Amino acid sequence: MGRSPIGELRMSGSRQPGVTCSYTSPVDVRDGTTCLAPSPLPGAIGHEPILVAASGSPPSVPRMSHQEKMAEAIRRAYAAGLISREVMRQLPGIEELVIGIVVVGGVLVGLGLAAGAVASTGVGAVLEAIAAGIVLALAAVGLISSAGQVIAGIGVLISFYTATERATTYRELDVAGRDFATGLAEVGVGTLMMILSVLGARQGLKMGRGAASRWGSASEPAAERPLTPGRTREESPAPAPKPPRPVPVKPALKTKPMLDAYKGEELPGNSVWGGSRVKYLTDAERAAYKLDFKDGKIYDANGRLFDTSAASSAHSGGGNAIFVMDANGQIYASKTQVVGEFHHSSLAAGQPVAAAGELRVEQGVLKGISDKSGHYRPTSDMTDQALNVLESRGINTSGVTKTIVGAPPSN
Amino acid sequence: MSLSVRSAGLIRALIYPVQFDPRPLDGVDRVIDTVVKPGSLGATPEEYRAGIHEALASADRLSSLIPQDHSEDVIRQYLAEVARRIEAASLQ
Repeated sequence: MGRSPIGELRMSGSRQPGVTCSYTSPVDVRDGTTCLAPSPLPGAIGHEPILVAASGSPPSVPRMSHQEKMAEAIRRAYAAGLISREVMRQLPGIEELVIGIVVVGGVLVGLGLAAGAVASTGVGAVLEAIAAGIVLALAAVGLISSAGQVIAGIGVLISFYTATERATTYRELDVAGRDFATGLAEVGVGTLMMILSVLGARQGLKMGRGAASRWGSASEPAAERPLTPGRTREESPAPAPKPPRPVPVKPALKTKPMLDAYKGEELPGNSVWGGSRVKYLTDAERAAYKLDFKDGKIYDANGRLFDTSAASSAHSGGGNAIFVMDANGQIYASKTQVVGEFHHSSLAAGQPVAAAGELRVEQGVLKGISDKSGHYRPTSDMTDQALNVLESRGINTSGVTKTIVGAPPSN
Repeated sequence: MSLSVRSAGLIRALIYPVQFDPRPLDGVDRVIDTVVKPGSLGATPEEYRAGIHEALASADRLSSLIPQDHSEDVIRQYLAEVARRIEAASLQ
């Protein structure tokens, strides 16, 4: 029998009485992580400080990437006690969770699904089919869920994806985080993770299909659900056995951060380029540089066959576009590179990349690839990552000229 | 004398494109066409030429202005050639 959160003794906030300086949910800091989890400040029991940015002051929301906004919203919801420690333990790390939501949220929004439409009764055939598939996948691992619950979970993901994308203030992030916490409590960690697993797998995201059984299901114990506004104990389903600890989910692709020498190049008055500022694309701007793949050919964001005949890169000159690939395998390319103004770092907004270099493409057919990126200096295996992703999307790489200048990976 | 922030930026802009060239001297034409002539960083060819002269006269390690693998001698020879080409082409 699970413990009722109502009957559980709680101090202000969500922390249970205990050692003042203990901290049970550190953030895993690795490449690309922009925030650190410091030791908690000494203070009254029951106080758990919000995670702060490594720089000492939190970045402004408009300057955050979409992923950073999602992560911040989840961290703040947790710090505010809206997501319980037990639920956090069932989820993968925030970084992995956010990557999953970015990929799946992008797919769902790309299908034209809006949170409002999902919430209404008139959901379309596409959504019905998706939900039916996920219900079957849950059943295959012994978890019972309804199409309605899966659709509700999809609505939660879309709402969180779009709300964080639009957020320009911490208040808006808090609202998004609160709604996510509420939705997570209502649909259950298992259902949400199965949605991410099934839809993410279609996009090449490595989140095991059977993983939902390890994360519990829609009928997770009531004690593991946080108390959230508008939710009562009576709504809780019958408790189920406590699920085992989740298996950590690794990032989809290996990434490398931008070199320190170029940090701050996008800021006014920077000394990197003698006063010139490098443009860093916003999420919305970056969409115009995204490459698509269909029928073995490469297309630009406007649906035209990608062609680099008129492109030029700083390192190789005419015929070459610059490209980056993010941790989710999305590839962005620019036909121009202007020293001190637009670089690989522009496409990635200074964030870590899974690959970077140059592409030579003729009428949608890949002819050459290199790892020439002064800002990232990728290791040689990162270009193989890019080629593997391209192959997985139907691009023939057998006759492609591969120019490698980077060092082999150190590990 | 130490290189000014502005001149250091201009020298970075000249070295950056040839960091992967086996012989930076082979990249001089490309750098003239893609950096100097278009006025990257808002600088005129004369500013680039003056920046190179300031850099070559300084004791700063120019090869360390950006992460790259060429030696100091190779970088200085390359910059001298860029300056010579700017002067020869009357790009000032």
